[in-house]
Amino acid sequence: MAKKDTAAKETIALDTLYLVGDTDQSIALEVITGGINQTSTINVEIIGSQIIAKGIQGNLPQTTIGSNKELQGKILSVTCSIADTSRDTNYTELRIRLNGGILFMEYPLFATVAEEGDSVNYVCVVRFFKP
Amino acid sequence: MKITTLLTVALCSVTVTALAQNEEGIKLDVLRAPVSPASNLLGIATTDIDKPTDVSAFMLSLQSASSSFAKLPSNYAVDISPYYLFTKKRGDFTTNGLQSTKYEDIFKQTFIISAAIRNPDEAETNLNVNNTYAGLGLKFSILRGEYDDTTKTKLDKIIGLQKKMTDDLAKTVREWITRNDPEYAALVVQRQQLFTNRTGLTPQQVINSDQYKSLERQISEKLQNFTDQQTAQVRQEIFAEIKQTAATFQTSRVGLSWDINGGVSGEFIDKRFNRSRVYNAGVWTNFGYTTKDGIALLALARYLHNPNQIFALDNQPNKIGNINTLDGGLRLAYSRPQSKFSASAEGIYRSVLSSNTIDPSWRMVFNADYAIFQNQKLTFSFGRNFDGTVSKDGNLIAALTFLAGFGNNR
Repeated sequence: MAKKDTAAKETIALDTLYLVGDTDQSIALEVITGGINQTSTINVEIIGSQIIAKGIQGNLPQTTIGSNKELQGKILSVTCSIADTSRDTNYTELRIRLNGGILFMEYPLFATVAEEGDSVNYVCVVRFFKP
Repeated sequence: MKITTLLTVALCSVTVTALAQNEEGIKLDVLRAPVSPASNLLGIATTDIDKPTDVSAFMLSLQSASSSFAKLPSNYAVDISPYYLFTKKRGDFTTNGLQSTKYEDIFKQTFIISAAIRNPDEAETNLNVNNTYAGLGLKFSILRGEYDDTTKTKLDKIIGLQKKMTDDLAKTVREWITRNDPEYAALVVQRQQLFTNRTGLTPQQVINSDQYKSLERQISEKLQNFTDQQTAQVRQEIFAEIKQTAATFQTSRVGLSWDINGGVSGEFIDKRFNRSRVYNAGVWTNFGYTTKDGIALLALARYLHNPNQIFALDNQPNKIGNINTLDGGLRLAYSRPQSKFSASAEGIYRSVLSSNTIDPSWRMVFNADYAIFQNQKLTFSFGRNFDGTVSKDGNLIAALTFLAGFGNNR
């Protein structure tokens, strides 16, 4: 899916859709950050409705964020800052996984920083849309 | 003034001389386990080892090394972390996840498979140019200490700054959504219409279509431009502050540690896979304890089958053939981050298990250094060598000798 690698960019953005149905089935969100030995902090919220995670370090484990019905028309915001604290790689990544809607979706984003100690911001907007 | 200048020049010159001597003479930490067992067994340099960060990067490097999978790679070394690469990255491999001291996490995070293949050229002295060599190794930790106070303090600082950054980013996203920029809103509607107006296409097909991807790229760019503009000042300040700590960040641990590395390599005679034999093999283990005060006690053992060089023969090339060697060592070290002084004592026992012609022997060395300027150290070492002679080395001895000579009346 949407995959970006923009060397030396300080912000990586994704605005996408997640297709939901008209059911009570739960939707689960998981956020994975990397690479190995990098340092990350994540905020996750459903805009105007609920804060799911604030200042989480590392990964956000699989978390139920609501049912298909409840999430229709809502907007999920995932913001993350990753610092290059690894001496082996300058590679950083963020993966958002959504499960329980019409399709399982994984949104991988990544960037390689130019110098040791540089940071990258990831900004993601996911709109829950019923087709 | 002249004396000071002369003394500085003399100290610098003896430092360089002593460092050069140190590389060939008294060498500490010789039993440390290799970073990549398979590559080490085949003498492949650490810089030539590929360390892919995702499956596609791994496939790409394999494709490149094998001429698009048309033939076996001729010279290739790779270290892969299977839990990181192949388990859909479910583990936490960031500095947060790597703090874990649970056995299961430690194993998953440290388990590395190393593989290497080598077709030597004429310049190789140890390997037969007519044969192909392949190695397979693995390494993992059983115990791992927790981060020391310096590491934790630095991480707390970075995370504190990141929290400010992500709060600002979240606020910016809310502003962007609330603003409902007309161009952006129109593109969002256009994207949604691809689903409502789809005829005979599944949602997946719509998502995979060029039109959808193009719209998503345009919409994402608008979000990116807005975020870049709105957060420019905060971002520059915070990133600069993070960089001060992150650029030199190293993780140091305190507590118990236990690492195991092992590998085996095969020699394929005349490059034929139905004629092979074990070329060499090795098992390394390190077990130790590091205190909060920077004192570390480390026990090391190394078993090698048919090594290239025999440690018990002063690292001479192995002309004996298939022999087994056992080397063991104990190391006590003192070293603290930012400290100018560090010291270590090391005892090494070496033996050849399958030959009676080489006697076992031992060495005990004490080594200390003190940083006087950046990249300039006073070093001192003293100990018993394998042959029973007592040695002293380091630029401190040389400097003291020089000073004594300088002060003599002639």
